[in-house]
Amino acid sequence: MSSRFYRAALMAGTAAIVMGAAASARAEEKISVGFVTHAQGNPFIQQIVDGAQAAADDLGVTLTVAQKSGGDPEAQLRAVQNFVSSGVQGVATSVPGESMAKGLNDIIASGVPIAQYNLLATSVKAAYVGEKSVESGRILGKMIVAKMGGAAAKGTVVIGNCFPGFPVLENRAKGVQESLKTAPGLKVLGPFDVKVSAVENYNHWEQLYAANPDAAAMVGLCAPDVASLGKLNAATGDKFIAGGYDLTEENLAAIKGGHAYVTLGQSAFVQGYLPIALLVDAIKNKKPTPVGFFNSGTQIVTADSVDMGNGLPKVTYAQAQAMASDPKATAVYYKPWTQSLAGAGLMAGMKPIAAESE
Amino acid sequence: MKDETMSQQTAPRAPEARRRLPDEIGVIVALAVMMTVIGVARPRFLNPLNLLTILGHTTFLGMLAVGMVFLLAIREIDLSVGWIFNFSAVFTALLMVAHIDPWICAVAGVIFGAGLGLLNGVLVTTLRLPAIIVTLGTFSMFQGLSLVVNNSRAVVPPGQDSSYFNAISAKLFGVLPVPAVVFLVLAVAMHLVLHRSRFGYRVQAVGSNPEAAELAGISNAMVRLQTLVLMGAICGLSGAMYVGFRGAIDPNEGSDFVLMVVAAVIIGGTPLSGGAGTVIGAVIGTLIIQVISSGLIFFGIDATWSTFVTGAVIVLAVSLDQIVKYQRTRRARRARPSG
Repeated sequence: MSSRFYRAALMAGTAAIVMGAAASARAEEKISVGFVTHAQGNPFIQQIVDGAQAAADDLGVTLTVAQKSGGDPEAQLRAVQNFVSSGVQGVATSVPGESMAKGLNDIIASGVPIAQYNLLATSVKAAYVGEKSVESGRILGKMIVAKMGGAAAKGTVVIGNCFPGFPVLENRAKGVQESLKTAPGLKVLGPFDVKVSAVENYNHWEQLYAANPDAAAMVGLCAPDVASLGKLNAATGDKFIAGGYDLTEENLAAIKGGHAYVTLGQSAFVQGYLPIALLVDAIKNKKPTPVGFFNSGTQIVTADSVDMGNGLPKVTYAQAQAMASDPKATAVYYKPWTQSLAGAGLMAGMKPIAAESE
Repeated sequence: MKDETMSQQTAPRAPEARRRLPDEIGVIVALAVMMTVIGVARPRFLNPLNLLTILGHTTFLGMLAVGMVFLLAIREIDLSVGWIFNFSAVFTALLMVAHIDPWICAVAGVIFGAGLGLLNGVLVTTLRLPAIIVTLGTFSMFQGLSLVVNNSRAVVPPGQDSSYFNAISAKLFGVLPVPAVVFLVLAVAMHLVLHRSRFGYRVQAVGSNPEAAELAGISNAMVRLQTLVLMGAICGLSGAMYVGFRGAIDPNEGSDFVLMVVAAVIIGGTPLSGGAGTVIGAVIGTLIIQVISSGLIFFGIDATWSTFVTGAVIVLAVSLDQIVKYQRTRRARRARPSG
């Protein structure tokens, strides 16, 4: 019996060291907020987390991040509830499913403010920071049509969605399809499920190209698509126009290499920074975050131009690439924007939630 | 490995048998140690409300783990459990959307889940293939069909002020979520089924030695079929309750359940070699996973470290269980009369 307990104590000690060694120090007097993501090891999500950390640094709050993989609403809700139980004063989370709404609204009703970012459930009574998803799809579709020759364009366009069922992605698809309809000669296929992991994503695009070798354009709706399409285009002689989303290093490299035409950013930094700023404001004023939509802005990057959105100064392609992998440089670049949030500036851009999908 | 496991399970009854500790003592100690470590460092963790919240977190995965014990006990794994859960929940929610009484929808969801389990079972027995191979295919079939019927969108049933939603969302004595109560009742019932019923003995016999079981007149095919149907029904129950509790089912919910479920069962002490199983261990295993998940957040562990820490703590918990089992076996051998 005693031997068993010695071993148990040894294990307990080791467990404490493993958990304790990785624990970050907490200052009890500081505001502390939780941040829950729907993916892990994803460069775009990491840029959002970097934005959240920049806000925490600027506002002097403690930020703890929990990353869940696979966009599992139940796992994310559990993480939010664990954060609340641990005593944080507010939580920002992406909301990959309606099944989170009831639980999140219970938390809001208990007095803990919540902010949504990147993925939303419209029934959650909290602020949402993200892109205008249908509108960004329209922009992407319009650029593809223009590149193909405008209203007289002809050929096959293949659309891929890495996560069928995510409302924001479905909205993007809707916007892309709307714009493609302006060229009646285009044959639109999809959206097909192209999966989110980089390996699976490439494989699915490769198969789609094998099935549609005459495709004139291939359009993805998620972060891994432009990199996959660029790689595929490079391997097959750059025969189709590739377009998609997010300013990750890989995507920018594909554009610069001439293997992809356009990638749209949704201001990852803003999607991380603004929810934390809204939470801190809500905590200080002892109220929930406002039920409204905060447009994170759309960035448009081609090999010829870089529009960072939000009225930010122009940057060169090299600067955009450098920022994709350098959180500090990004925070410095966004300084004029973060300073504009002071005072009434924080709420200045708020719109009704319905504006997100207009 | 198998012999060792079997010897653990069938350790001779020593003179001290009356004060014999349960087989699950290892994982119970591991869970207690973890909770103590976290609770000492972060006292808020031991708040009864938080502990009940953690129990609530185990409900839906825990139910699936209870069913998976029976499958592992017959040396099978059902990879499609997450999608049976999802598809049953979607089916239940769609019936509710069609304005059928939610209680009837919930019962239909359980039957639907059992039907999907039956499909698995029929394929497994008629094709004479291991369930892991058949369910590798039905995993995608159920996922695909679920996406087709829900149009890749969340299904949100109307009328959420009805008695079904109120009953499932209620808290017993104001603190204990009803699904957690159902989970615990299911676990106790399944524990009794595994260890006190003819079906349970057959499951263990088939898992322990299928040839001997067949010679003894136990139909391996029938036991495998029944076990897969049971698994499906439990997935259906979990799915139907999920809809009542969360008020919606998302298209991808359940997609990564299987790994967690199998992990919980194995952490709980059910051997992969079959022939034995512990429902109580599976419940404790599920709790261990949730306690680790909660502990990471209470300690404020950086997200980039959390995956490693989760794995490391699971390895420690399993190691602790093995050490305790080894000690028990050694003591039992020592207590055995020589010659």
